[in-house]
Amino acid sequence: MLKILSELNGVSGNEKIVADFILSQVSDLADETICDSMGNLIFLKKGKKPNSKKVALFAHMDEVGFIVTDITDDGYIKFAQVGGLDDRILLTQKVKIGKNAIDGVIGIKAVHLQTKDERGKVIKTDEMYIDIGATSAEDAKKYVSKGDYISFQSEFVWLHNMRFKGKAIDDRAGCAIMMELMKEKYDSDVYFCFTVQEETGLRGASVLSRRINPDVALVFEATTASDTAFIPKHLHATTLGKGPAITMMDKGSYSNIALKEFVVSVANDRGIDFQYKLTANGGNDARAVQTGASGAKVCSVSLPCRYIHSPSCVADLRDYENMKKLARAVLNEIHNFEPEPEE
Amino acid sequence: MSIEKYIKNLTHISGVSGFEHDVSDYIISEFNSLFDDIHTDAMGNVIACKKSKNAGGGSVMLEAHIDEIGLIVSGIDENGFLLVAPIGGIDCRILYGNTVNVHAKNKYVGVVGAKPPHVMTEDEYSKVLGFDSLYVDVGMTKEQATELIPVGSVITFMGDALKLKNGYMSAKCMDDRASLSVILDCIKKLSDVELDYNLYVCACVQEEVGLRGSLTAAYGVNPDFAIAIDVTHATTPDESKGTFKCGCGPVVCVGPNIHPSLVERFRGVLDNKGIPYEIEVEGGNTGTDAWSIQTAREGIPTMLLSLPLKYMHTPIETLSIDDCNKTSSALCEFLKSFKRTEDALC
Repeated sequence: MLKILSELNGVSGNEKIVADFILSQVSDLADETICDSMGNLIFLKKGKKPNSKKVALFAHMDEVGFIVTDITDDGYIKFAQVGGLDDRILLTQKVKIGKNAIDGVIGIKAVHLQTKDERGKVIKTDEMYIDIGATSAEDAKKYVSKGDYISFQSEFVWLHNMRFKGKAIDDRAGCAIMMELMKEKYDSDVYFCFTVQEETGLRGASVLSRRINPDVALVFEATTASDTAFIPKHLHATTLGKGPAITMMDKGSYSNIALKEFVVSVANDRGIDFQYKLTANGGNDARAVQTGASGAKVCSVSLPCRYIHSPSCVADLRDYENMKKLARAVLNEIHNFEPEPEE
Repeated sequence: MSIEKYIKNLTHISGVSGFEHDVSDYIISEFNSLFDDIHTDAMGNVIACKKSKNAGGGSVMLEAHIDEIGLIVSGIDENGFLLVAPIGGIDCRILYGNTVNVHAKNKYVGVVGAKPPHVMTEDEYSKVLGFDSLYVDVGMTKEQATELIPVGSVITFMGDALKLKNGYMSAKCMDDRASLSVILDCIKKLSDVELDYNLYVCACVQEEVGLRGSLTAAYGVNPDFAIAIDVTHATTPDESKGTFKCGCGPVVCVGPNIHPSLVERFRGVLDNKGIPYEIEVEGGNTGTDAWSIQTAREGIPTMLLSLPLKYMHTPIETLSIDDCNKTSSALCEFLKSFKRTEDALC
């Protein structure tokens, strides 16, 4: 499932292929299905013992990518970023453009032709171009139009130690886990929310949270892992293989303390590996959900992922399995979550 | 097999300079049905000969290199990440985020990694990532990496050839497997032609690290003249000076590296047959095997044909299949145009 989801293309604003796939797989499992005007997908699963608590789970369907801004006279494609990307990972990547998934490559002149100055300079996205083999602007326009979305081409491949690489693990990992969770019944009513446009500013989740107005929300995400070469240990935000990462705070939101404690206690009770996310950087749909309507208690649980926002995200299947286990356990217990009454 | 298919197969195989054995194995299997004699010299060059029934017609050597640029594992860090150095000329700016194959006893998939943004200073973020800040992540612990990937293992870009529009194709190591594909195609076309001279084809090693294989290959063959086939820079939006538009046909080099009357005759044949070509003027070292072949033994008259190639030394080297076909035809017509090698040289 992860492989299939990772290889689907759904840049922010263009998530339909992903949404259609999810719809085709899980709509039978839901008691109610809503597709809103933004493109968000909401599935309600009624609880066995419905109580007053409204529980919502979030994962976003979109991924970072690009959009066609112009076509040059000689038939090359100019583009802009959608979502945040490091300019330095783009050169020589293979991409797919538009509805017809036209193949292209992000070119750069050969190292032999570069001056010393050029070799020391980071090339920005607006200086780059995509080559689809077109011979002129007119020829290129047969295949590509301004506004076409562009995704990375990156095959999902296994590395060593049950680790894998692929694009869009952020946040198809969260989508895959929610699709799994939908197969079971829980005591509480649960809304499964697959959101759009997280990468462009949490825009899907913000309208969705106002529609549902949940009391409790869990956000399943992918988060940066920096347990890599040349980085001192105290800067390892998360580490592959140590289990899902529970967020205490990031730039967008502070997890509700009671909810976070609840998630931690469930993990401890069941002996499920987890770690804390050890940086306050980053941000996700939790922000939009927490402040969406009259406020919700939120907590994010994330899959540690190296080289996030690149064509080659690397993550660990054991973390994914533990994240799924933890998510399932929390859902099975969530009706017992009773935070201290507010003063 | 079409040129396109040869390119697909040949670019799929890995052969970093000094580690070309998988490519030479494939070449030998393809050469078997096309040549009378095939051998490998001490450097690793594959040398094949299509013998003439008529002795005394002389000998011609066609040459392309089979090595490719890549990386080599220079160390393993405490967490199992592979530290790397380049083999051949690589722009380190293109590496981050690419998927690679690490060639040890088994083949492993890896990703070229670097620091994520949140642990990077503003200053670092605006800097080019050099080999001191890049590494390859194979997902292993230090113990596993030390056991499975000896220091000195080589690394190539991963990924199959990609077809673009209008007969363009993108792949790693088009430089110089595309030229080898052209030669294979040309030899196939000549299979029913009785030549009056011995035709040698040399698939040479270690071009990217200093034109080394072709030196011993030319010495061994000792031809009356040689034609090297390589790639040259094609025009892209970020470079138009001194480059060639894809689709222009073979690029014929002139300059001190090239034998003047040989190239004149070659151009005459192309003009005569109506095959389009461009002239590349190189005032000194062409940076190709033609340079080393010319001064092998007591000197060998040499010519250089090139295929226009975009994005050289990257995983997405891009060319026009049409140029490959035209180059194959040009080569074929030229080789049929003379009986004895001395005719071609006067």
